[in-house]
Amino acid sequence: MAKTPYHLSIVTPAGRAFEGEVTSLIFPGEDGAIGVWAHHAPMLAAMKPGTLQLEEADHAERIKTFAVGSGFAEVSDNNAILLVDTCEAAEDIDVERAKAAMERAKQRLAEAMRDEGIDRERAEAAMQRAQARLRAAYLRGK
Amino acid sequence: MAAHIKDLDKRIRSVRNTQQITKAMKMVAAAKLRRTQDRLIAGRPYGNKLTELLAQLASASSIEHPFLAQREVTRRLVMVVSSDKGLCGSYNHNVIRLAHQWLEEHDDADNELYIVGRKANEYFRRRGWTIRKAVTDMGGLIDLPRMQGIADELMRLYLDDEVQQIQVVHTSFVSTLSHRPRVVQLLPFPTEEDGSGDAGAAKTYIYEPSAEVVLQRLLPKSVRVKVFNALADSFTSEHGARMTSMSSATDNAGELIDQLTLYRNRARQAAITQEISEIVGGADALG
Repeated sequence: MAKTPYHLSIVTPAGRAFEGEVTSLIFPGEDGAIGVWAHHAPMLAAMKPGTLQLEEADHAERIKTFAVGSGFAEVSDNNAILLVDTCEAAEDIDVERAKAAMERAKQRLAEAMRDEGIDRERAEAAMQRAQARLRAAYLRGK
Repeated sequence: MAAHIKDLDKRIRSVRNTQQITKAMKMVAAAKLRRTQDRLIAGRPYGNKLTELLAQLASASSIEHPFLAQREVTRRLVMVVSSDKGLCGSYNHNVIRLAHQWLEEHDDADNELYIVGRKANEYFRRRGWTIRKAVTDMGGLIDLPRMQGIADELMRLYLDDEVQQIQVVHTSFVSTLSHRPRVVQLLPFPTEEDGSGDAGAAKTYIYEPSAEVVLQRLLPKSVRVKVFNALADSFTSEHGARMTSMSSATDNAGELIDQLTLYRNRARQAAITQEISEIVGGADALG
């Protein structure tokens, strides 16, 4: 049975990152991954930084992967809108740079544990972002 | 007579040099205008949707949050957005005048200033206002992490009860030729009295993980968006104002050059005519 498509747009402060018909979507919810198919009940969810995967309606079998920042997902009437801080397609991620960012974030986090002066929340967010990017880059190969 | 022509030539050259500078500034401003305007427009769908979600959530539930609570105001922070550089017409004058007027009208609490832009900093410092912080090196350029940093700093001041209210005086961009300075309340969120939210309230949402958490995440993001919009709006206006004023300066210089050239030609013609009549006069005397 063909999967029913629904409309998805991913919006960031820098503009629209994705817009189109998809058949399924998995995004990182605050308390774990959430999957959305067509005819999902109206939902408003908080998202944490992580990886997002979707299946485009006209490219069956091809899964697209993105690394996203924190944000919100609104689903209603077969229309999903994701509002996220950042959104990078897995193809565009530079693995070397992501690894370097990960190392920096780790170091900063370790310093933050010892030193009160460093913003721990910020360091943690940077760490999560770097992790998401690496994971997205890893999933791209699958 | 010859000396007079030389003076005019010198002036024409100097005006032409000035014209070249104003023309270059106009072109730079036009490029910056396009860049900031693109960013401003690109950020709009995100901001609009976020505001929509917030309105929906606020009307659907009665959750308490410091950003929504109206506290008694003993100290107020007023953010004033101006430019670092001049030569942009009445842009700074308008926003600073509005800020000054607003401050004088609202002296019911201790007002402190958070200033963006060297021009407003110079103005208010000279007049002895309390300035908590002045950011004078943004240069009218959009820098997302920096703007978020400013928003986070403002939120911290509010949450730590250093100030109980935050107002923003900035310039809103209508078109390249039209900008309007205005005052908007940043924190706490102004309570909206209009009943337009009723239409969307009928939908029942599943909140994941809960309405409280979603609201807690939404509010700071919304403040960041508002700060971004206030700054990006002002910066776009600044470049628009500079482009317009440099454009008219270039036109004026052109007119001046035309007029001076006319004077110079007239003077030169007069000199030639005089010389001929002297020669003719001399020949007549000889003959």
